[in-house]
Amino acid sequence: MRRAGLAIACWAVALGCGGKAELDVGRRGSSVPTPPPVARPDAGSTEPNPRPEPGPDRGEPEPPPFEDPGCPPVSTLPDIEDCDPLAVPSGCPLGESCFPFVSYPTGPCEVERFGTVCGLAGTGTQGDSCISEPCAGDHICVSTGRGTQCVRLCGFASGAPNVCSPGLLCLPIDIEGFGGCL
Amino acid sequence: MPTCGWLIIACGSRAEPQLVTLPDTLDVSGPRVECLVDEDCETSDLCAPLHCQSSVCVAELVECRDDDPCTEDGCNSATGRCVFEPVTVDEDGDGSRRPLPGFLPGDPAACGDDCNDSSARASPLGVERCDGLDNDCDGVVDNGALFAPSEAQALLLSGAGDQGTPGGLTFSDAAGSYGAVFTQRIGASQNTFTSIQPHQGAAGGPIKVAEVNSDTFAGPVVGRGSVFATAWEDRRDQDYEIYFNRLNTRGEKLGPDLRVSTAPGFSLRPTLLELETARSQAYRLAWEDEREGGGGRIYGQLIDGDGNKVGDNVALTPLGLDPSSPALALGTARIGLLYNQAELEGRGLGFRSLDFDLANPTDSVRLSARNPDAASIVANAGRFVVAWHVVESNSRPGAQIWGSVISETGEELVAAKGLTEPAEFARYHSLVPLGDRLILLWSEWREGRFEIYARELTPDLDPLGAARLVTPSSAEAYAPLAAFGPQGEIGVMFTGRLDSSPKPHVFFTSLSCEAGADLSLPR
Repeated sequence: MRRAGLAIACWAVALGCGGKAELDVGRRGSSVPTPPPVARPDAGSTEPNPRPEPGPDRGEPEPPPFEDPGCPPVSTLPDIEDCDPLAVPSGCPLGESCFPFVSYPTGPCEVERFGTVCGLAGTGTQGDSCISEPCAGDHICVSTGRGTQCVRLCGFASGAPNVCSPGLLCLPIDIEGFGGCL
Repeated sequence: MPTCGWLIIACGSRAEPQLVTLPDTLDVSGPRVECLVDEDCETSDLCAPLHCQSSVCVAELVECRDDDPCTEDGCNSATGRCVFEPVTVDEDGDGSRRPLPGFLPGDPAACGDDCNDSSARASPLGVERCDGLDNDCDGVVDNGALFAPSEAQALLLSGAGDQGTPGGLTFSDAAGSYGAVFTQRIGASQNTFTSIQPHQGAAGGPIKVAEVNSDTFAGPVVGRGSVFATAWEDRRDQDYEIYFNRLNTRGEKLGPDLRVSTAPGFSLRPTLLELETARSQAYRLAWEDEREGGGGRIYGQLIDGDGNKVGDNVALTPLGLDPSSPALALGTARIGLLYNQAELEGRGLGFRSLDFDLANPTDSVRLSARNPDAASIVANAGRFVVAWHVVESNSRPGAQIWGSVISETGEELVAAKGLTEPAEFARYHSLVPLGDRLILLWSEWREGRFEIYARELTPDLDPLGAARLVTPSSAEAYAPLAAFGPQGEIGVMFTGRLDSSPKPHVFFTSLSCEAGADLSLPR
């Protein structure tokens, strides 16, 4: 099951959260400012790699490791918390729901920025495609390995209630602190 | 400038070239004297020595031909002697050469009969042992062996992180250790490698594979020699792209990270194959890709044994299928590509096979799978075996793991059937092909939680024996990922939870080999 890990772990890539605007936030990044790149790490050389020496199972030296320059450590950016998607009430104005989002880095040494935002909810619920219809409150649109679908939001905080139906698991998505019932 | 005619010399034997023909010289410049004796004609190429004939230097071309399709014929210009290089290699030094790609070991045109040129413990002259290898190249791994769950406590791999999710697992015969990749969250999601020493209950210090600050998510890992290869999802480029690198058995990278995809939209869920070419290794990679919108396509990439891209990304599926979750399997003559796809009602499974260069695809075939999820494909005895679980209309998993058998060109040989007894829920599985049978591991819901079970299946997917519980001591366990280990052991990486914590972590356990009647115990 080569892909089980991914399918299950489902970095169930956050694609958006209910409203159309949030969908864009999730998929393409947001207007949340991020710092400029600090340094460029090994980001995918196009130079051919040297021919490795045969390995020890052939009785010859093991290939020398590559020294990755890496990135200087940077501080995580504070979350933008407008509301709490898992709380009742969520803190959003009447008629809106709370959705988590991730703003992707703009350079290889940057970090994501996570947050929550209030927005208009759609009607998509567990298992519904979120291509045409945004997700309802308490749900999030993720790439599940079976297309992009709305799934019930869940959390990993200690003592968090299990909101997933029997047979479903609260699996991590790519927004820190949140999961989806998958 | 001398005018040279050609004198063909053929080799009657591998060692001694012989003169066979003397074609006329061609002189277009009128009578002249270039030489009186052979010594007047100088050349450093002994494969085309010059001789003086009628006052003209004439080259005698050495022709080297042994009429053996399993050699490349040539002439050494320094010695003038014929050289016949085998077209295949014996990489593992066991005296047997690997077959040409697309040929079964031992086939007349295969130019090799080693069924596994990565291990000197497998050759046609080998004796079968319980070690996860087809030692005697009879097409069956560990003939007759039974596999028993370990009684040891499962090993926590992602303990350094806040939570973890599995990526891939393989075993290095060279190093005698497993290579495991998984994602663990330490500030960010990190694609992480660790080596696992069998029977010692300890894992090597985890190594962050991608040295970036953004999130990276582990994918598959392949390789059983001194080099592993892995592919992963990486967010360093503002978007999800697929990256690739090779690692030594300690997890140290052997080159810079290779960015495989560069395209708008997400590139997700890599699947990776290692294959033996006639003389080296190569990799084949596929993933789901949104660059063209419209639900995306599966894209692929050839990567050579040194970790370099060969050509560009290639589209492996047509537009309009909304394909997802690709899985590759290396067959005898073709590569099988399985993917989840949209259908008129719900989702289904699509299949096509390609040649070893990811070209010449068969038509896409729709398999008889209703609303499948987490499908996998393995090659077994010249056929592909596919398995999946069902997602019911209420979005919950169905009661069984399902499977079918298809030919390398997509004909359904065994129709979809349940591989497990009905339970409340069954989901996520791993298949281990043994040639004359398969081992299925899967997670099943009993008493309010998932646990992992294993059973053996015939090549036609009928059960062989009862299901055995693999993870008796875990609080909850699901999503097994299996790989052959040493001495017949089957390593199993899985997701589980610690006590009452809601956070998932990555664990490792194993099945050990119990020698059957026709099998020796491991040394």
